[in-house]
Amino acid sequence: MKLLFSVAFTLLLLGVADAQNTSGLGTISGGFQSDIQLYRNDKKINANAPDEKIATNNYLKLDYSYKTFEAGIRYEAYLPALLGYPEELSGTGIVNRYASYQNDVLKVTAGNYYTQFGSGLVLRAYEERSLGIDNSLDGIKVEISPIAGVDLTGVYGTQREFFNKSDGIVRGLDGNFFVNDIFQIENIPNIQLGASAVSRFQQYTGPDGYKENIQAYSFRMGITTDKIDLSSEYIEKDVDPTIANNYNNLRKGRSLLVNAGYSLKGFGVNVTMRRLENMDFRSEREAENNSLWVNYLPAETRQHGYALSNIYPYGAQSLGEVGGQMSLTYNIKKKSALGGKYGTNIYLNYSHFKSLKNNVNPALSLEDFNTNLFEAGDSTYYEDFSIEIKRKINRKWILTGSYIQQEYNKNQIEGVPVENVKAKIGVLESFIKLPNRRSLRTEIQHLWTKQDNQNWFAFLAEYNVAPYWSFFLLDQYNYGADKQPNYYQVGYAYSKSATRISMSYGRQRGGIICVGGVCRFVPAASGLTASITTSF
Amino acid sequence: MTLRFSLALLCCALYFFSSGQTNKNLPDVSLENLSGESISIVSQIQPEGPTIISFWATWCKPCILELSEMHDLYEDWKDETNVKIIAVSIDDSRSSNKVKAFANGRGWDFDILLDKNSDLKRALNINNVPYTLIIDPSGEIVYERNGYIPGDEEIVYQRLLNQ
Repeated sequence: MKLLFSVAFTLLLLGVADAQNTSGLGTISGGFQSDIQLYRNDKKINANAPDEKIATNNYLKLDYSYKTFEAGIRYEAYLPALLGYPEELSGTGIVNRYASYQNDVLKVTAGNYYTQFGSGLVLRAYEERSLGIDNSLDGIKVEISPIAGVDLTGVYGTQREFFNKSDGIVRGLDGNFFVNDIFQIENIPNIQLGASAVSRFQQYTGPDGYKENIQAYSFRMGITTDKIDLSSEYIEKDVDPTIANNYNNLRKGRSLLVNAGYSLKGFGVNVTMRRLENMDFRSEREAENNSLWVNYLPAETRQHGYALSNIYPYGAQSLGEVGGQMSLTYNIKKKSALGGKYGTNIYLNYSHFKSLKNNVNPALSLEDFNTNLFEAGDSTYYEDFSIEIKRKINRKWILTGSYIQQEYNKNQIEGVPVENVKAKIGVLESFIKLPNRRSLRTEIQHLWTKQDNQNWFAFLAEYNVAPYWSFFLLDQYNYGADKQPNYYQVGYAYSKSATRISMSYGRQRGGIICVGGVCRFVPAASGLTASITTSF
Repeated sequence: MTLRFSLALLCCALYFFSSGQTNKNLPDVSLENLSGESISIVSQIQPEGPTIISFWATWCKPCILELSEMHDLYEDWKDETNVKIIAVSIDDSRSSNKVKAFANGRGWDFDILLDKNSDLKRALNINNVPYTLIIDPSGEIVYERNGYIPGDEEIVYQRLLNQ
């Protein structure tokens, strides 16, 4: 039955897609992604193949647009879902459909939509497939720009919860005001003001008198010149007993985000400070893990690009954390003594996040324990220092050296009661252009730590043949651990215009994977992986 | 069952793949400039010549390699083909604050726009970055590239010459 439906659906899509050749009836576009894994048992890395040896995630999206009108659907099929995805993602269905109309002043969307207020600390509906996250709202969204410099948005809807919908209703209003545009003043810094109000309603019939409506407010300000950026956002949120705080929440939620940046050609520096306190905001009291987030709390740390620097990633601590991040980019000029003939780029990043002042779960304390918003407690949750020096040696060869030092509070982040992991990582990366549009990229990485699973060594070689082919070999060897597992992987990717097909065979390390500082745990896996993405 | 369904979907994808490039226009989506103002992407397409839109992120290594290559070639390309390059960052609020310092620090001359909640990326049905498009002055997408393999910039250059 399911199969019949799937085939019928596919045929329908093909028929509809053919219609795009007919002019004057609007255009059809879309995208398709399929990820397939074939699992095998592999004792060496504790990988157990599930009962279903083949798992596949599939996403098909179709959009139709005609002048100012747009509509679309997305179909997803998890048969079953890849290991590590939420178990509720199982089966098939249409998970997203929408229609919208827009003119110069107004845009109205009905159905499923995504949106973000401010930096997302108060509301963000988004999709992150690699984590199995899609908290799109289903309802109505109205965006109005009545005069130049004023953008207003109103939303009403329920969030997607896998193949169902949340019990809670989310409502929100957002306004952004660009002072210079409104009053048509030039020659002074750009000034931007913003405010949002978001409310969640969920019925409550129990004995504890929990509020059904939870309100959260955001206030924002920004000043920008060519060189300088200053911005801040303050959030306040109602007392909100949920499963995240064991239904024992007595304090309001608060968050403050401050950002300052300065840059000119060849030099840029940026500093961010953030405090979170009781900021776990979901559209259902009972929501856990990565489901039904109303707001977005990314880790304010560097998102690393090397395999070994991602073994200990930070995830924001929604109940309470305080800290900041600094990053600096400097380009040493070409043809200078230090910069060499082709110039040298230096990138520095430092971040440090700690517990709140009184070092207890802020949800459980009634005292007004902290007056200074950026005062930190004693416990380090995460610290990360990295320096990267990239130098173009000649027209064909780029060398990059990196040193990274991390402290990772495994107890706080993963709930494993051990001492903080302190790791040092060194990486040397080389990129060489070869004749006939070929190129070779190699990475040698090493991670030193006395805690956790001890030392790692990694090697990557990537051979590219433009414009279609790329081949890679990656080996991560955990030689300090008891079992000394060797995570090897070989694979290739073929890409042509809007399509990319990739395949790899080998072992995947179990652990936490994070995208945008939101993380999920994936078990170790062994076997064959294939992926296809295309848009049309 | 699973396999058969996957095959059906795969066939579906191959069908679109084989049907080749379609006449697709750039959808009109609002992005943010580095001052935080909303900017319609369609309004940024120049009438005088081709426009390249390259999707990237501060954490995406192949994206930075691609943009660094294009940065080295940009002056010559502008002289010869009158091209304008828009680098659309899909960094979300975790790293979007860093984009301006990151791009300036590297001396990039591209127009930089922010797609903080992936609205344009979604409208174009792009699954991953890097992703590069060439738009002709009428707003039609004339070239699409999923991913970046070093050397692709030569093909982009050939396409620009043919515009």
